[in-house]
Amino acid sequence: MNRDFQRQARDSSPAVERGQPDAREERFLAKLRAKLKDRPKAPHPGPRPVPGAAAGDVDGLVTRFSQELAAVGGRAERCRTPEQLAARLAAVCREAGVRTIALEADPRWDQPRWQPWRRALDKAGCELLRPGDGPSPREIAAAADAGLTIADFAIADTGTIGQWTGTGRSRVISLLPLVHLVLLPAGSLVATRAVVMGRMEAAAAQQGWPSQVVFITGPSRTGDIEGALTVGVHGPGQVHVFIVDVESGEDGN
Amino acid sequence: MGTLRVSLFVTCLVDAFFPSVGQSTVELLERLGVQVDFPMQQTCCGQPAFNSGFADEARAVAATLLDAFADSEYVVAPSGSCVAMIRHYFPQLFAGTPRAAEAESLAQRTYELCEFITERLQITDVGATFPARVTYHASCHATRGLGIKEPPLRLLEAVRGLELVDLPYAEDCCGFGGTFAVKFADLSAAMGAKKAGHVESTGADVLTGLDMSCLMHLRGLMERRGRGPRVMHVAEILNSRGGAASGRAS
Amino acid sequence: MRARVRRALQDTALGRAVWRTTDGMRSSRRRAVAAVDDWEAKRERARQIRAHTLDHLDYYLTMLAQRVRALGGHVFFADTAQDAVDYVLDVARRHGVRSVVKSKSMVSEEIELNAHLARAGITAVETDLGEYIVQLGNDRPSHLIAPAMHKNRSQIAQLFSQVAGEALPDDAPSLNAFARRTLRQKFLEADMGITGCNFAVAETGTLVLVTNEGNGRMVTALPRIQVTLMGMERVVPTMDDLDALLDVLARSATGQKMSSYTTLTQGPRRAGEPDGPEELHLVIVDNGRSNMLGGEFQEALQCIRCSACQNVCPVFQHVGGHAYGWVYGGPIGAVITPLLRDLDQWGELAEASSLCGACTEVCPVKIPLHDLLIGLRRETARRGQAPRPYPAVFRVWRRVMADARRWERGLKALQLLQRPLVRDGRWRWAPPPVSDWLAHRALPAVAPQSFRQWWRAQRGMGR
Repeated sequence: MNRDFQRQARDSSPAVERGQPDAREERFLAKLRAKLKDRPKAPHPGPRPVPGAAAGDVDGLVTRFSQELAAVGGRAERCRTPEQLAARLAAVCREAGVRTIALEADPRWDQPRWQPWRRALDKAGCELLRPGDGPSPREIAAAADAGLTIADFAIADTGTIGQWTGTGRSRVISLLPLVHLVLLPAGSLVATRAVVMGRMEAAAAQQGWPSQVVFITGPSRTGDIEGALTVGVHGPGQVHVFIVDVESGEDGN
Repeated sequence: MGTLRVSLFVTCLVDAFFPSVGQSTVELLERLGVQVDFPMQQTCCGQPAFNSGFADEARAVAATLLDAFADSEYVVAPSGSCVAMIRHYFPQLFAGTPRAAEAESLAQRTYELCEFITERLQITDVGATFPARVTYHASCHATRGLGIKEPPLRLLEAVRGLELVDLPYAEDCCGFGGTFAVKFADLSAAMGAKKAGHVESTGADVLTGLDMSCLMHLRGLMERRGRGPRVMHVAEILNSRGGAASGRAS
Repeated sequence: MRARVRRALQDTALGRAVWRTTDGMRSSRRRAVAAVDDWEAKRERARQIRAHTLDHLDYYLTMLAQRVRALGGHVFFADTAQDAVDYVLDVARRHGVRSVVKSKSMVSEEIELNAHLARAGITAVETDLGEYIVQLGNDRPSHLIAPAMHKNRSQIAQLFSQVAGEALPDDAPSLNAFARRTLRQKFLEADMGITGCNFAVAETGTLVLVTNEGNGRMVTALPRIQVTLMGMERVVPTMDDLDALLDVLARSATGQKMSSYTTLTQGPRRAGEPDGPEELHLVIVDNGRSNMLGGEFQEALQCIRCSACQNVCPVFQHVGGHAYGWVYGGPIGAVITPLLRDLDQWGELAEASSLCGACTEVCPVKIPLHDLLIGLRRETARRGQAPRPYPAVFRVWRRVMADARRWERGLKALQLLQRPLVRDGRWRWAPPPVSDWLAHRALPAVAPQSFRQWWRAQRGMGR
């Protein structure tokens, strides 16, 4: 799980604007210290053991993931070959009335092992909108029928997919269109959130955390109108995950 | 096992308003081979004042129980609420006072009636006969406060002729809540009305429970509504030997 | 509170709506919790994490501020509502902000930020669908996570139709589609996004947002400035701790295993990233919270705002959140409102509980809510502010009940005195406060022979 975590902090504003510690802050914290002075201190329960990734059983994870995602209103299916993906993608888009797909500018598309899968997208019968020199990701995503991203991880237990930010990668391709199409490398699927958190922490120890990590569990939903479950409030109303058997290898850039 | 000796904490409410519940409790325990005494110094567990924020007043009154039951091996009360007060709040109420150890000790020796029968005496069939359709109100302080969920149900199920019917939303509060019942009387009554509706929906002949406080509130509401089942304390049912008619409505 | 309770009880439509929402949510929660093997262990761990963090709050807030700054964010500590408001207005002014989109923040309700922004000529739009409805209705949220549960479809359609300038149909999908279109435009235009904060991770400087609608993502992706308002107690030490709390949050709230979106934000956007805020401000707000710190009510700060206590509370289920009179309703509201604000004025909230303990039973961080309510009543009584006539009532009660002989004499007196007031074994009239009982229910007369009289007659003198 390599990541494009950039460590350098943006440092354009002067110190005062950044709200550096000042007398006010010292007073604030001193007030808390004084309140807590005489209180016996509750111990921290300690970290939980980081669960190891269960090796092997990809099929089991795929089944579990698909069930859990279906339970929250999403769909998942496995595509073992780029040809299968092309056919299924075309079918899903037809069914959902998707004609234009915003494609994330993910550096992985340039890797050899992803090339056949990238070419499969061209055969889906949709217009692919790619952010580049022209319109920004937000403009493309706002206009497209669907957004297509590659998931960085997925959690079988909860039917969750996850993405993080990085160079060139947009926060909104997976958010603005009404349909979210996801390619999930089968090897990125793990059993529980704790496994993902453990892996991310290990990676972050080397590279720092990305500016944002998003856990996505099914479509955007609300019960705010008389408790009736409604999807597609602000984000996608449909989440369709294609679990692809992309060769394992260097992920990220 | 030699004869068990038990002191009855009858509770102020039963003492004043529902003596038949206390009498049934005594007769039931005696029938099960227990020797019962009733120390006269007892009055009230102090809960009304404690829950209203008057800790000093509560402590002064709760002390009557420390005096009354100082030498008792077991204390048994026909109330989940009052036992919860003793078990959970006496240690807190007397903490830092000279009587802290007595409060701790009493907390450990005090039992709710059904709990005492099923857990101390290890009896589930008390030999009662009560041919009626009965539903059971699980009072909050018994179920949540003391964790007593199964004992009264096991005891009632073993009663001959008794058909136990589930009460929908059994875990919901009936709205009594001590002084809450008068401080927010309309709210308390609305909660009780919802509970009474659930009770009526069971079609039961009798509503029973461990706490006369809840039952007094519910019966009072149902009387005003002019409908609803008879209301009896569990002790009265468990002490019944004949037909439903012989079980006196409290 | 009494008047508000009375009004709420008379509003049968409200009663039905609140019951439907809360009963649905508590059933979902119950199922979700039953499906977890070690729920009690998870609760206990969550409690320990929260208790430990609060006992070391100054330490973890210092760490959090350091980390957020290292990531390029700005941090401001606000003692009061005014401090927080001033800071946000200052940031907005410096950047010439005209329009703001907000994702759900209870702190912003506390500090009445929208009104202040409006006065400064800045339009702030709530984007959580329920909060949007509440904002259009010039209203207050009535539930922690279903803020518009008190509005029905036709009321919502009316509000939306006013915005649309045409009559909209009142089915949920149409109303939702309208909100999507309208709010989408606001997201794309806004200069500033204001969010709440479910948790902040001290070790990593992470700000965590949990939403189902995705508005939390919108607000942290599209505007160029992000301001996150955080109650100072929301910090947790590590990512592992965050994971433990996420385990209990969604299940306790809606019964989901995970909410639709959980967003972890580490500072503003980085070089080479096409979107995300250029500037990120974290405002850490006290606003009365330190009143609870270090004292007998500190456990109330463990709250993670899941709403489980509201959904099981029989009082809340009957009257909804507005009856509590301020931002927070239900058991947690009854505890923290008097402590955040003013006990003398708000102590009454603590009286509006039957102490059934349902709240304590479900709280995922094990706040002893009903015990804290008793604690508040005690504090109120200590200040001489207990509701009348109870101080006098309990003075007399103590005098009688502290001595069994007086109690027995009292019983005998009542047996005599009640005679003219009793018919068929029921009281016909009684003085206050017992009259309030009689207004709704029958009350049995004192038995002609009390238990102790019977015992004395049957069994001699007892022991």
